[in-house]
Amino acid sequence: MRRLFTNKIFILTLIVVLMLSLAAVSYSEKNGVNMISNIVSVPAAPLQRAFTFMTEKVNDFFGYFEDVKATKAENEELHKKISDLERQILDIEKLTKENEELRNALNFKNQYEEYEFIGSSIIAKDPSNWFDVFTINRGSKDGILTDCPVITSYGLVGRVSKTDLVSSRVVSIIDMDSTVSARLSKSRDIIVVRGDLELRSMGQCRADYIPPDADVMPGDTVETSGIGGIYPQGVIIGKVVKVIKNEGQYDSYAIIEPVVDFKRLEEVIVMKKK
Amino acid sequence: MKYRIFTAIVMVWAAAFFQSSFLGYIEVFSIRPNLMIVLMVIIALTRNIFESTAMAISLGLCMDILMGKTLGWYGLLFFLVSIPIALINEKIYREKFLVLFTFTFGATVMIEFFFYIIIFMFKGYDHLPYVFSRIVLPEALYNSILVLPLFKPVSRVYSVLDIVDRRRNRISQ
Repeated sequence: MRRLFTNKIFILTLIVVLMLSLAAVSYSEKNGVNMISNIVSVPAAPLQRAFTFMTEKVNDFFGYFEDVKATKAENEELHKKISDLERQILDIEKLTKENEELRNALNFKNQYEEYEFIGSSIIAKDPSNWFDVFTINRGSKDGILTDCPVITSYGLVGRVSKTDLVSSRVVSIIDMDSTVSARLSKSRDIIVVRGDLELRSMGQCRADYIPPDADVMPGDTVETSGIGGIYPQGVIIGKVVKVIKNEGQYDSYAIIEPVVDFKRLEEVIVMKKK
Repeated sequence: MKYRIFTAIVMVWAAAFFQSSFLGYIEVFSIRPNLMIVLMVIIALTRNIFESTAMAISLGLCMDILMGKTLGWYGLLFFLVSIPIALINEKIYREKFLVLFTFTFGATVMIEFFFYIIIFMFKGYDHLPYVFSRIVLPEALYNSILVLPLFKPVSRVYSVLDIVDRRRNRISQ
């Protein structure tokens, strides 16, 4: 037996088999093997948080002087916008009241009522050049669960793919492993939005399974359909920037520009079911 | 031995920390260097096969953990690529610029190409020219440049460990 363990070929084969078994066992996102990741993520989280804090402060300092100039121009523009918005608010108030009355009449339930919103910061980005996964500073101790949707005030970011004790991994919608059931806001056609390796570098994703008769045009808004059970209905994903028509019945696809800027993303909100 | 293990843990952990944070700020054309591959190559070029493969597995697994996807693929690829480098490291002028550059470039291409085959090609993604020209080759080039300033400090850490080990052995004799 001792001779066997000193045989180099045997050791090599053993390690290869062990690694392959580990890969096979950890293939599914919901597995116990990933508890191993706590060894790295728990001690790394405070350091990553400190690093993110420091880089933000340095960026803020250098950005200050540039910001003063931009703020002046922005201020003028905002004054104009305020007067427009005040007018719009009056209209919205009227419409909200109407909407509420109609919802009550039809006994509709507010879909976001069943969610608890947990704010969190991004503490680390994907270490490789293949995926678009990032780490947030909330984990299982904060009640974060796998598959919780992640959003910002602009729209959909992705979903939680793994939870460690004090941090979680989020797969963004531009990642290759992400698939979101969506709908075109205008025509209400159901499509599938998924990540693409080539489009990822430009912060974009693609929409597949566009029905041949679908009325889809650049500028159309895409939102979650609610089908699939992970993402709630009506969260904005992005806008169609290009439609590529092919001959096959379901060969056409569209390029989607997400409303979220993944390169500058710092804070996100995790939606947890109550 | 315990100093060696402690140093290895610190090195892997520091590399993991920099890989997931600092290196994101020095991306060129959305490509970041892979410090874990660079470290693996330096260690495989300077140490014996046991130390090289042990570090390769640790660095690879750490990379897998940081990505939060399937565990083991990078661990396996790092391990397999470190073996031939560690086997021939005494027969080459490992401190030469060209040797460092070539080995890092080759190791990165091998690891990332096989990673692409395992993860993407089996899923039906076949844009090989794009993957090579926009991801694998730029990363290999970036890593090959990064290895040059890192080689001396990492070798120095191991030289210090060797001196400590020798002194301790002499005292125990």
